[in-house]
Amino acid sequence: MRIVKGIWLFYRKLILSAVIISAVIASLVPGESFFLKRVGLAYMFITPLLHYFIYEVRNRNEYFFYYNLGLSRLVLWISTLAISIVIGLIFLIV
Amino acid sequence: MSKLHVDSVIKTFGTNQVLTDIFISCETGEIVGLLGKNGTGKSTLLKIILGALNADRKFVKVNDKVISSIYENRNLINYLPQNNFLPNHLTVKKIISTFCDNQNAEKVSKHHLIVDLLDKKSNQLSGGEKRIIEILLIIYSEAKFILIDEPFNGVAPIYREEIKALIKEESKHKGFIITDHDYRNIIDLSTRLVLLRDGGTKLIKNPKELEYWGYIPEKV
Repeated sequence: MRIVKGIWLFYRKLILSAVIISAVIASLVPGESFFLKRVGLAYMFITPLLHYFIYEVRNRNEYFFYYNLGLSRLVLWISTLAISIVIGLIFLIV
Repeated sequence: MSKLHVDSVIKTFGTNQVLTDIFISCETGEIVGLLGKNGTGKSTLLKIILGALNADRKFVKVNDKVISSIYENRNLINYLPQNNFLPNHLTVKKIISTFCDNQNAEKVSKHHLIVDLLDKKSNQLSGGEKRIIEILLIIYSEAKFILIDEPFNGVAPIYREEIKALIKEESKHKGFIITDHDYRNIIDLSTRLVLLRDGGTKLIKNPKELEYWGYIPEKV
């Protein structure tokens, strides 16, 4: 349970910024239809970039918090990619 | 009684072999003081034991369980790094409830140094406040073995004795490996001293030996 909670808390930091940036990018793409689909597509690419910027560049030491919960860097990266793809696909399907 | 056994640790950075076939062990009830000059690989060794840093070679075992990944370490080995590690988007209360079980979370939350900070986010705290929270989280974590890197860094002297007393109390059922350049506190706290020098560990039976090995100046 603590592992799942750790992954959620780690990922939560990325969501708001990723949604906002994805929406901005989607709105810059010409065309009036498929806005949510464009958001979903952008979200899948933006979230890993934010992960890199926030955790690898700016707050690298925060990894130790998650290491102590039993989460390795590899697991956190895989989680980010997997959750982002799922959320992105939901936007694409809706 | 549980035992942490670490041996055959080799770590090379470029052409510099920092750790050369290291052996260190710790039993519950023990506080092992790890001393060494800057750059001798103390933090590197602790990170390798946790699994946060890859070694060229290592063997880590808790009782009969060989540890080869961070996932296997959970609830067995925890590590307090030199620099603050609290996620800055979470409140102290949330951090405590995530890190500790219910019983220990209550102990940490009710601690007189923490109680006023519970609703603050980590980025609203001073460096010293963060350090005190981190130390309490680690000391009261469920892990059987706690690796602590420079715990007194940024902590006011008045709180150091309190932290030492907490570590001593928790060491009754946990094992600690602790390193800090404030060697007097480490000598005072430890049940056993180990010096990291020339890539290897040396058991120190008498603090006077630290002078012989050139870790402290003579006649301190």
